[in-house]
Amino acid sequence: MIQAYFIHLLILIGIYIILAISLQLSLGFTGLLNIGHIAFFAIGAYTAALLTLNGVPFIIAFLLAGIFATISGFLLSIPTRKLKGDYLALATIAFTFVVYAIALNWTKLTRGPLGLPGIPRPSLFGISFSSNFSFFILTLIIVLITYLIIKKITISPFGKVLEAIRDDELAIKVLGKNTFKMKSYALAISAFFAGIAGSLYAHYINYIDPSSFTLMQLIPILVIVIVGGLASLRGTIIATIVLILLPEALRFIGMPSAILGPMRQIIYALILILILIYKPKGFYGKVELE
Amino acid sequence: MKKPRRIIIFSIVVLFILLFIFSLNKPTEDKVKVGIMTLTTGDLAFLGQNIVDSAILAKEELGLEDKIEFVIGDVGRLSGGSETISAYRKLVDIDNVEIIIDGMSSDGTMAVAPNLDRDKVLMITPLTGGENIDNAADYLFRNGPSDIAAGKNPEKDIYETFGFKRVALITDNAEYTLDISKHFRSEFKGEIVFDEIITPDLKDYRTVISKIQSKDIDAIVINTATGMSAAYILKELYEIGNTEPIFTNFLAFNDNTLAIAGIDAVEGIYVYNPEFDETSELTKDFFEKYNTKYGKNPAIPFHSTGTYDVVKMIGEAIDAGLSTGEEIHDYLLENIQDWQGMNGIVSLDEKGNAQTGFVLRVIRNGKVLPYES
Repeated sequence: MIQAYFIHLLILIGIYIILAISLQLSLGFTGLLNIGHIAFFAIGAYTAALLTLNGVPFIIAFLLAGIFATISGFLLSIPTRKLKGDYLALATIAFTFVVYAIALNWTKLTRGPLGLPGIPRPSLFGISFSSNFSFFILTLIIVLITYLIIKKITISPFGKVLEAIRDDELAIKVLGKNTFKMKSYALAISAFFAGIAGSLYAHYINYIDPSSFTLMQLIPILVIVIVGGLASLRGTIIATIVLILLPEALRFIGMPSAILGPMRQIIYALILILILIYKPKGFYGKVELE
Repeated sequence: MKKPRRIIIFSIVVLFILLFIFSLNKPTEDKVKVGIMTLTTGDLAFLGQNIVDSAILAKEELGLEDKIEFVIGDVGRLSGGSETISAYRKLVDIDNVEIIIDGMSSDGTMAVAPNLDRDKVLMITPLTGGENIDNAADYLFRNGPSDIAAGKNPEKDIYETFGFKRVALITDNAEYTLDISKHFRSEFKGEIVFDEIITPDLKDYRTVISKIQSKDIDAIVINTATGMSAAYILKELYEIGNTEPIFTNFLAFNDNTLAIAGIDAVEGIYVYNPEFDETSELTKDFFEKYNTKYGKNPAIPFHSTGTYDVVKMIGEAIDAGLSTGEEIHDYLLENIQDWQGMNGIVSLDEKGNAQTGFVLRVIRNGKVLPYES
């Protein structure tokens, strides 16, 4: 039974790795302060849930979850093309609120606050991933594929241009590169992987409602990216493992229920502050957090 | 790897391993472990704490201290999602819990529900539940009243007893209240001349109120999921001099409502409270002991009585020599029929749901009093 608990944690770690390294692509490598990542996660989760609940096979729903999120990412990049820094953050926060409001209020489609129960576990080429162990294997494969693709992108010439845009966009423009197109691609690819992470999440939890996709849910992912270090995939993976396991470890401390929740949050926050004091660039950060 | 980084990562991994080993090495006693999944921080933490406090007191009162050990499943600030599932998995996989008292909001209950049947873990909710919860899992029982009754009972009183034919309906955009209003709409024989779903927990509902003012209505029905929305609506209705009778649910009226809206704004409003035997000596004695032990009254009295009943049911099953989720599930389905608890006479149907209802109360001088026609 102990293994079951660890398998659950490994599945969560896997989903959060996909989510965090995809955010790393837009935030760490391209320098886009993208606070709308949780909205892409939500779009992926709702797309996969709605499609599979209506009989669409998992693989199609899974890919469409990523594609819908990609389209959303690309569309978001159009009105925000001239924004950067805090202004981009504000615009992407607004996007998160829009997606949340749709999930909450378009009740005919999403059932609003009632949520979508009974989302089936995946089945692929006749193989059912109904047990947590098999779901973990599926998650692990998708994590590996995601990591390899994003790694490949970051070391490619395209990835180097993204990093250059992050460091000095004007200089890249002077060299004749279409930075808007590059940033749009980065945001769209980042959104694609957030979408498939959302799909995995919906199929794993079996139930989604709008409360799972608020701005509050983005904070742990942003923390992972910052603690892991901007533009570091290795750091992001380590930070995901540490930051998923840390609050779990605090569950084992016997405390009265009246102080259990606040104490867990305080200890968690203290440890994060200490990490950032002693490692301001995060575990493996390549660039300063501005 | 540089030294500080290595130390940080190493410390966290060691902390996790030590705490894990520590939890495994706890001396095991001959007690049945019962989980309590609850919110421990945030706006609704007081609801979760009330469930925990009531369960602990019930265990003492029922003499079950040698038979039941409570384990808290902390779902943090928000139930629902991965945090809830982690709390559940820890209870089930590490603490070997097979019976859980549910002190979460409905999104948490819904997130856990698919796991219950798979794991044969029985979860009993003393909170209310509607269609969503009632059909979510075979191993999910409810001994509190249903949202269906929360919609139907007011409908009957408003139309038949009071004779109000035209009402305005305001509903918080929340799982619990949408369900109540859905049943109210489907049952109400009069006309709902104004029907609006509002964003919960805002501080200004004057736009909605001004729209109601322009309608010819006999009464206003307010369904809010927490006291916050209701408090501001009541306050703002009072400020504009509303004279129409107001009907609301038990969640809309609490100490917060009184503090925000003021005693004059809540005077004479009708509140639907879940039915429980508040006149019995057992209930009075339990509330008195609760006050003595914790220095306050139960935040939501029927949550306390419902929790007492859940602990009592589990205690009876343990006394019958049962300990697993599956055994207790079958025992309760068979034996909780016309069963006397603090909530009154309770029977579980084939899905494990109790059929209790709501009673009409009226606010006088800031106190909830029985309604006498």
